[in-house]
Amino acid sequence: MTEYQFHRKHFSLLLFVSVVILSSCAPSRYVKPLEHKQHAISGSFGGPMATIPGVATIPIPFSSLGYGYGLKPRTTIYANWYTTAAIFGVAQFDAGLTQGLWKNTKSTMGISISPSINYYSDVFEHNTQIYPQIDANYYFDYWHKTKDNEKGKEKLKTNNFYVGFSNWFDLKNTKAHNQPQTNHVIFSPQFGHNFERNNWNYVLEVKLLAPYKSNKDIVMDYVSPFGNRGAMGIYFGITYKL
Amino acid sequence: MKALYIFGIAILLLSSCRKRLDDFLFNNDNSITEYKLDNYDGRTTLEVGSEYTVADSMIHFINYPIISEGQTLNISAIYVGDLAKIATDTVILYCHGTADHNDFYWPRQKLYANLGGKYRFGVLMVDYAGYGLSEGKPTEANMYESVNGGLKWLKGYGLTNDRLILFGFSLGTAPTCEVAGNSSSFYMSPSKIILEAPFASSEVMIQDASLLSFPASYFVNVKIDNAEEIKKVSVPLLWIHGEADSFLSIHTHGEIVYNNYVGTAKTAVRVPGGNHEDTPFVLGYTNYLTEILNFIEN
Repeated sequence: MTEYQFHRKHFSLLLFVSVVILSSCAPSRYVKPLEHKQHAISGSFGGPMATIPGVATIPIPFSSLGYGYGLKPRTTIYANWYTTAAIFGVAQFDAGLTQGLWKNTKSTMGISISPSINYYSDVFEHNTQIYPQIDANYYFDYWHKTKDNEKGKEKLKTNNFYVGFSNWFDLKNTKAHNQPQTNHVIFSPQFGHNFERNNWNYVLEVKLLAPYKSNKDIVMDYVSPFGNRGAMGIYFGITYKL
Repeated sequence: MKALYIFGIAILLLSSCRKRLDDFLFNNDNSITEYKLDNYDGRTTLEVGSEYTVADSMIHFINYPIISEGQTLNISAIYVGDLAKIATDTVILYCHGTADHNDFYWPRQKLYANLGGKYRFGVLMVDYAGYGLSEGKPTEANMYESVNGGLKWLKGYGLTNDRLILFGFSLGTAPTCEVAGNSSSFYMSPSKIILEAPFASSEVMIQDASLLSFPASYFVNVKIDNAEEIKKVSVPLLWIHGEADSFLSIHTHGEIVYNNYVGTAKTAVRVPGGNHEDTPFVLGYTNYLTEILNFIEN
């Protein structure tokens, strides 16, 4: 192992957090809006795939916990707290809403949009940053079934696929050492699958992070289907509807 | 309600952790019991030929105490050259990179000991606290104080500022810039500095990888910031950087440091095809040493 590979192994850990806090730290929130007045709690786990020399190629394990509420029949509000960032002394939250824009008469497919704000502040120097985010998704229920359980209640099972994109916005004009910040919009297409089971919802998502941006000459060895561009993130989410 | 209760406890627990990633800046190895130099069978930064061998009589293992962060630590270093000539000749203090210890960088010390001919310049290489045989923990303050102890040792042998060259590689560019930029806080002040593959700051590392303008304080407490420190440096600068450095980009790290320098004279050596640590090899050892020699002598 050469020195720079060795560097990478260790600095990769440093950059774990970089990506924690990157737009890649969670799957898309509430692709399908909650029912009106419905409460939900959720958790997510996963991140960009990266190779750590001498260790493995793994999705970086970032996590979050959240709450959602069906404010209106087509509007869900939510907030999430990023637990991994907290370990490093960074308070990271997001808050936003999912708005159903369209769905067909059978409610088996639809389009939603999710504007949100990502907030960060560290406990050491109290540096605070805010990054707006907009996600948009198209979902399609390709399998849907209801049946009675042992208590006689209706039991819902749905599988759906979704595809969409996530946009993060960096409003600052400069970055370190007064260098111009040219990455004002970070666009990341994504696709995922939802398994809805009774009150539980499980989601698996793949996000292609900034697939147009070079991933060369940095301390992370990202894994990307586009080779030297972008990174691929894999995320698992779980939601319990109260 | 129960969920909220659990959520609150989780917040309290996690908020109390406050882990920092400073330790990951230092890839030290202090498991060795002696320096083995040419007999070292671990990985090394470069491989150099027998023409760069140095005589045992010119190798001096030295130790000196430092007081840092309230502790007295014994620091180990290697000096190659004639001790008697320190009072009259030019000496290079080499600040190595982040990996392992002096044995890892021994081939580089041999190269510099052959700069302009065998033992033309004395070369001191310091293992920072927590590296190799040096006591303590690798921290930013301990690293600076370890180098400062080396300066004190050289001064004790009669070295004067006008004959001191500070040479930093990768992580070692941090103490180099710190000493050169804040010389009143150190025992000596260099007459020239050489930076090979310098990093601008940890903030640049983070921003390069994340694309976003995250501050370094989200991850580390260290204040290493060569891009700012170099602004205080007035002595001549030689900058060497591989154009294919896949670890510290020549554009976002090296060029920032070089461009921020506003001192008396600066020279850039960009090495086409050079990666992070192989620029001497890619450039050719003879060419590499000639560039350094020209800088020191002119």
